[in-house]
Amino acid sequence: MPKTEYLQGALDLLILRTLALGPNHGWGIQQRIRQVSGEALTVSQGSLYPALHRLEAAGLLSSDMSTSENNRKARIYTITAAGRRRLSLETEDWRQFALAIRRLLQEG
Amino acid sequence: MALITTLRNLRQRRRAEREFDDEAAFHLEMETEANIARGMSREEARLTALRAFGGVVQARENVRDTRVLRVESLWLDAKYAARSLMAQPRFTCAAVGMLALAIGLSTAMFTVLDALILRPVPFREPAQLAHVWMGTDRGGRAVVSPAVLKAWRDSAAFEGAESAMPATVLLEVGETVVARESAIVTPGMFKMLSNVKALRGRLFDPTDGRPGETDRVLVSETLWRTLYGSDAALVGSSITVDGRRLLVVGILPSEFKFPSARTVLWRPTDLNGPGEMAKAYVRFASNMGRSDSLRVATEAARAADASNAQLRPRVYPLAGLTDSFATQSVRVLAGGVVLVFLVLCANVCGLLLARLTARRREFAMRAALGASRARLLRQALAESVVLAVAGMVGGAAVAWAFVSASQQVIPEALLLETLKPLTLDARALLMTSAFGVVAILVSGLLPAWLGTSVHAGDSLRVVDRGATEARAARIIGRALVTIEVALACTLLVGATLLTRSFVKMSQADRGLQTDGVTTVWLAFGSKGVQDDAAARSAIARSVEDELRQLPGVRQVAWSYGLPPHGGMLSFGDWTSDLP
Repeated sequence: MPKTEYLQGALDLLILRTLALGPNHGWGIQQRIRQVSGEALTVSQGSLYPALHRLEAAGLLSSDMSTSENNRKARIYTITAAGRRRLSLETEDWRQFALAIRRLLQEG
Repeated sequence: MALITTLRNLRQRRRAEREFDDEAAFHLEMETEANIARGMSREEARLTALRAFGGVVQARENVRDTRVLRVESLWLDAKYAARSLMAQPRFTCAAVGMLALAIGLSTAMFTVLDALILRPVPFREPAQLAHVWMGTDRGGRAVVSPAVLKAWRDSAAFEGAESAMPATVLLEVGETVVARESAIVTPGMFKMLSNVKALRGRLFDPTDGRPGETDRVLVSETLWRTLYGSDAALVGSSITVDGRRLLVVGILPSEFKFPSARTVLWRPTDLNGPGEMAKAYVRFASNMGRSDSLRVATEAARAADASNAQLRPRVYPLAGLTDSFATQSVRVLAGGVVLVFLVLCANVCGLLLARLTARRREFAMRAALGASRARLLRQALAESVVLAVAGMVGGAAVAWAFVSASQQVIPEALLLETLKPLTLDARALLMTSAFGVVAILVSGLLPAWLGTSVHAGDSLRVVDRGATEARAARIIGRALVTIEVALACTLLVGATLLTRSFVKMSQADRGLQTDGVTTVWLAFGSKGVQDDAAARSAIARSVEDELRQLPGVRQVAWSYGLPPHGGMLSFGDWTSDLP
């Protein structure tokens, strides 16, 4: 499992990426990240929720209190246009970063 | 305003917390159900979910920190700043004290200079107001006759022309009789001065002062409070002035001082009384040149009164120290105050910068522990602001104390030169405070800026080696000391020159010997005596005879005025002989 500090930097990216697929609540985002990464990435709630609120405050997400499928009150997050722009930027950054790391590792 | 913001933030915080609680509850339920689906018992599933959540309270605070505007953290900053300042009481006292002294001293000085020299006339567009005498080219002067004043009103020379003739009156309240300064004014005077409002009752109507309506009087708040015991029913009742019963129509605020600082009672006139004199005050029209106005006024005066053929109107200021010595020394004094202010500010800066070394280590340590530069700067800002606010409050107190004291310390003769009440000038306070705050902020933020500009690791190394001072700090410190010494030298030279001037002035030969001379004013109460020269002489003789009986009295003399002013009234001169 990757160490947390790798995850921290990428957390915003992961959240934005997940929400780009469709609106979701906090728990749903967490589950999806875990599933899609093949159980490799686990986001703790302690960092997930502050990150969500921070992104919302930055205008990259919007949220709404609504009732979920099983009739419970849940906050549903939706990605905004600004969020999508940020996502494409960060995705590119991350690709380059990953590429650089891979090259470095192959060198050695 | 700040309170409202804080309240709104508090409410916002509560809502954010409540919403987050809902969100967290939802998350826990979902997680619990997922755990059950994985085959756990309900209780086990819930506990596992809670463990995974990692403390609801902590998560909630994390969320709150990101959601709510930083009012609370600002408050925390201020509290922390106050604490760290309290931890160094000597430094804090010195810095706040010096700042307070700088702000207070310059504000008080400015207030006094403003009242005496810069703006001694507290009415609308004071530069347009003037006191006018008729004068010859050789410097002699005569009063303006009522006919001339009326001619000026009809001409386009001035925007307004009114009269205010000073007179001493005797007021009788019960058994006591006191002499007070009064003025007989034309009703339009208050409108011409403008900014005048009655505290109670009304000002004079245009009809006041006409025959049959002369028994009106306005009194000042001072008189009302001291002599009439703040009687709420004074307006509308009658008081005894020079033996006549006069109806009080209004009370003027004590700040209204006109035509002299001592005037406390005003009576109306229409200038039509027999043998009445005018003492003219005019307001120049703003759309007409001064020389044009005076030319028109001269023509009107000569047309209205033949005795004015050789005379021209001469303009004098309403109040204030206007001689060249006063205006010159005010510049020196103002310069001196500015220098003192700068020296004190430089001192405060130096004091703050002296802490640079210590602060640098603290900042480096905190930077190494992960504080961002913005965070450190904000902390330093909070500290400076707390310091500055304390200095401002102290400065206001010091200024207030100085201004109050100056009323006792400044010679009465000087205080009588202004029509403006000697009260704390809010704009001056604001101005000096602003400079003081800038000085504090600059010198407070500089250490933080320098302290955070270095990489955390480097600065930690500096700390480890115990390096005493950063280079930049040394340079700034030296520059400050240089500036301070330069300012102090200038101040010293200025003060010496000023003192020399004052010493020379006081030694100047005035052509008079005032040692051992006592002067007394005599005011006649009844109208009959006032107008009858023979009756006045009789009273004066009897007083004089008694005075001569007193041991130590060598000479007695009578005059309508004291040198250098002389008698300004030009009717029926009489003097007693010298022994």
